[in-house]
Amino acid sequence: MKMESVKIAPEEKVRKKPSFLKPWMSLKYLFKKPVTIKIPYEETQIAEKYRGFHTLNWKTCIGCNMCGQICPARAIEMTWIEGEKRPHPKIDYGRCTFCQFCVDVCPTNALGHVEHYILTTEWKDEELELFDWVPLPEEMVRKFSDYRHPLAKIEKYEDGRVKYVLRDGSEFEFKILGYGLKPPAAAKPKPAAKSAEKKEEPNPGEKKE
Amino acid sequence: MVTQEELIREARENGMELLPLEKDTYELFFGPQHMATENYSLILKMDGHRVVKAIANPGFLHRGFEKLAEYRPWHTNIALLLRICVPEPDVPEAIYSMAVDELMGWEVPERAQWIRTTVLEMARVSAYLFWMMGLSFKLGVYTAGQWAAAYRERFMALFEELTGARVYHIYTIPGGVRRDIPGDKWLRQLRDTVEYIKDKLKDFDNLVFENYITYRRLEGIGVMDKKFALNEGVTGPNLRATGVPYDVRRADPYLLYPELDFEVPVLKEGDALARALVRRFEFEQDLYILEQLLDMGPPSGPYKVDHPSLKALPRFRVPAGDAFAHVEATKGDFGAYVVSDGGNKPYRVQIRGPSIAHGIRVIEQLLVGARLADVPVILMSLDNCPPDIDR
Amino acid sequence: MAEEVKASWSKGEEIVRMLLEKAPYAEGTVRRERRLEFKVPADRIVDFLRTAKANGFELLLQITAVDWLKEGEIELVYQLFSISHGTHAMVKTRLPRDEARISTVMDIYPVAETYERDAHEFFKVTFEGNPKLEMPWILEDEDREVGVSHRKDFDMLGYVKRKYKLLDRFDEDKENYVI
Repeated sequence: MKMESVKIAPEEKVRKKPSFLKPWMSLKYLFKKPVTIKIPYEETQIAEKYRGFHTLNWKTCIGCNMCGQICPARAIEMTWIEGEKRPHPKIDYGRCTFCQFCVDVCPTNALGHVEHYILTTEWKDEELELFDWVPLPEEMVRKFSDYRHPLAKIEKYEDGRVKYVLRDGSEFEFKILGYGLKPPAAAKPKPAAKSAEKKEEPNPGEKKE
Repeated sequence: MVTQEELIREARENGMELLPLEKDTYELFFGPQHMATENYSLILKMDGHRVVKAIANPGFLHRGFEKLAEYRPWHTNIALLLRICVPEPDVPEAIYSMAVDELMGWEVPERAQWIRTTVLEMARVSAYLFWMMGLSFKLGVYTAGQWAAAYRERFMALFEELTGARVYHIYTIPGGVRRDIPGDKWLRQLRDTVEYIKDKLKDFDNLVFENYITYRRLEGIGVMDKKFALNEGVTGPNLRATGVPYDVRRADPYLLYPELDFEVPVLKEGDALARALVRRFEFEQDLYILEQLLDMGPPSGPYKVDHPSLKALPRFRVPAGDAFAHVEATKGDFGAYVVSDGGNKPYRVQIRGPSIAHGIRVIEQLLVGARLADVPVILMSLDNCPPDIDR
Repeated sequence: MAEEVKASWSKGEEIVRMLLEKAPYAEGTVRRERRLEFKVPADRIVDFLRTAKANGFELLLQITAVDWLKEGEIELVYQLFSISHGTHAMVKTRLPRDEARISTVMDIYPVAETYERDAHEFFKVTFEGNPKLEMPWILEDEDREVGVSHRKDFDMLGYVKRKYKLLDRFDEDKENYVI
C-alpha cells in the first residue's frame, strides 16, 4: 500500500448544513418504547461462555500451578487438601479479573468456568468469605441457573476442616492442610510434589531486582 | 478585616502555601471530580469567565502499568494493558499483540486477521458512540447522549457473545485471538446491528450534527492550524481536522486494511466543529468497513498460530529484540513499543496514547482565551482520555 | 506482516541514504517495510532530529527510555513518523546511567516537552533546557521522595510491600507470582 492511495473524502460530504427545524424531528421518540431493561423485574440474557465463576474438576486437577503463574492479579493460591495428592487452586474473587487465562492454560482442562457472574454482598464478613473458595465441580455449580454464586455459607472449624453449604442445602466438606506450592508438614511428602518444585525453578528472566 | 499577609502567614503555620493573586484574576481547579475532565485536572487562571492560563495536572490515574508489565508473563499483560484505554480496550490489546507477533516473526493466520480487524472496527464504532455520548452531554443535548449509550449496548452484547466479556475483552493475544467466532448467527447479528446503527445515524444528525445550536457552540473555538498540530504531535481526527490526511490505516497499513476501501475525511478549519464533523464522518466510514468485512466473510482456517509455546503460557518466551506497532484509534495514533531480552516477561513496554500529546500542551494552548463554558467542549472535541497520559 | 520484503524495501534505503548523507555521524538500517532504525551519538541528537524534521519526519510520537542495567546505559528511543514518506523511524541513542543528561529537543518538536517530563520522572534522565522538568508530573510527592522510578534497580516489590502491606501471605514463592 502506498501513501498515494489515500482516498480523501470530498469536503462537502463531510460537512453538514445547520438547521433550525431538524432537531424537532427527534420528538417522534416521545412515542417510542424505552430501551431500558428494568432489572430485577426483567431478565437479561447472558451470553453463552460468558467469563464468570470458575469450576474445578477435582479428579483431573494435577496441581501444576500453571493457573497461579499466569494469573495477572495473583488471585490464585494453591491449597493442600487432605486426601488429594496435589494442591488445588483457591480463587479469591476480590482480586480476580475474570480474564480466564487460568482456564486457557490448564493442561488437563480441570479448571473451567460457567456464566454465573453475580458478585454482590451486603458487606458482611461471612458473605465476603464465600468469594474466596476452591471451585467446585461444574455439575454442582450449574444446578443453579440464576447466575449467582452457588455457595450459601462456608463453615470453618478449628482443625482446618471446611464445610461448603450450597444454596440448595447440600454440603461439601474437606480439610485444608495448608497453602503454597510446597506440601505442608501435615501432608506426607510425595516424590511427585518434589518434581513440581523443580519445574518452577529455572526462570532466568525473573531476576529483576 | 484580615489582611492578605495575615492569611498567608496563617496558612504557612498550618503547613499550607497560599500565593498572592494577581489583580483581577483568580485560580480555578477544574477537575478531577468534574465530569468533563474524566479524572484529570486543569488549573485555570481566570479573568472573569475567560481563561488566561491553563496548566494541565495529570496523574490521578497512574497505576504504573509499564512497570507492572515487566513483572508479568507475556500473555498476562493483555489483561493489564487494555485498562489503559477504557472506551476501546481492544486497541492496546491489538498493538501489544502485533508488536509481540513481530518479535516472534509470526504471520497471524488469515482468519485471526479478519477477526482482529473486525474487533478493532467494532471497538472504533463503540468508542465513537461513547464519544458522541460525551459530546452530547457537554453540549446539553442529553437525549442524543442517551441514545448513544443505548446503541453502544448493542455492540457490548456482540462483544459479550464473541469474547466473553462486555468491557474488558481480553481477547486479542499474541499469535491470534483467544476464541473462534461463535457462528453464523453472530455474523448475522453484527450485520443487523450495523444496519440498525446506520439507520439511527440520521437521528443523530438531526439532533446533533445538523443542529444549529451545535454549530453556534462549536464553531471557531479551540482552533489549531496544521503546523501547530504537527509540531505538537497531534494525531487522529484532530490532525485530520487541520488538513493533514494522516491515517495510520493508510500510512502504515496493518491487518486487512490494505484490502478495504474507505475514505479519509479532511477538513481545514481545525476548530472544534471540524473535529466533531471528522469524527462523525469516520463513524459512518467504520460502519461501511464493517459491512465490507461482513461481505468478505471470515476466511476459513485456524484462529491462532499453531505453536508449541502457546500451550504453556507462563513459559512463553520471546526472542530478544524490540518492535513498534501502532494502530489508528478513535483518539489518534496509539502505539506500543515492546522490548524483549529473551525472557518470559517483557523487558520494557511503552504505550503511546494519543492523549499524551493532546491533553497536556495542546490543551494548555487551546484554552487560552476560551470561555469557561467552552472548556468541557474543547476537551471533548479533542477526545482527551486521561488514562493515556497517566498509564 | 509483510515478512517477505524484509530488509529490501528500496524506498526505505533511499530515505536512509539521503538522511545519512546529511548526517554522516549516524548509522541507519532498514528493519522491514516502513520501519527504519537510526543510531545516533547522544551529543548529536539535536542535529540529527533537526535534519530529520527538515526531511519529512513531521511527527514525534514518543520518547521511550529503556534502562539497560547490565550495560550501565539508558537508551532513549525517539519514535518518529514521516507522513510524507509513510514510514516510522526509531532514533536510538545511549546515555551513561549514572549521569543521564541530554539536550532537549523541544525547540524542534515542541511536544517533546511532555515526553521529556515523562522520561525524567520515571527514568531520571535530565533534559537540559526543558523548563518544565521539575514541575509536578504524574507521581505524588511522597513517591517521588522515596525515589519511585521505572529503572531496573528500583526495588519495586519491596516498595509495594512497604506501602501496601499486602504481600505477606505469598512470600514463600515470591518469584513465581506477580505483584
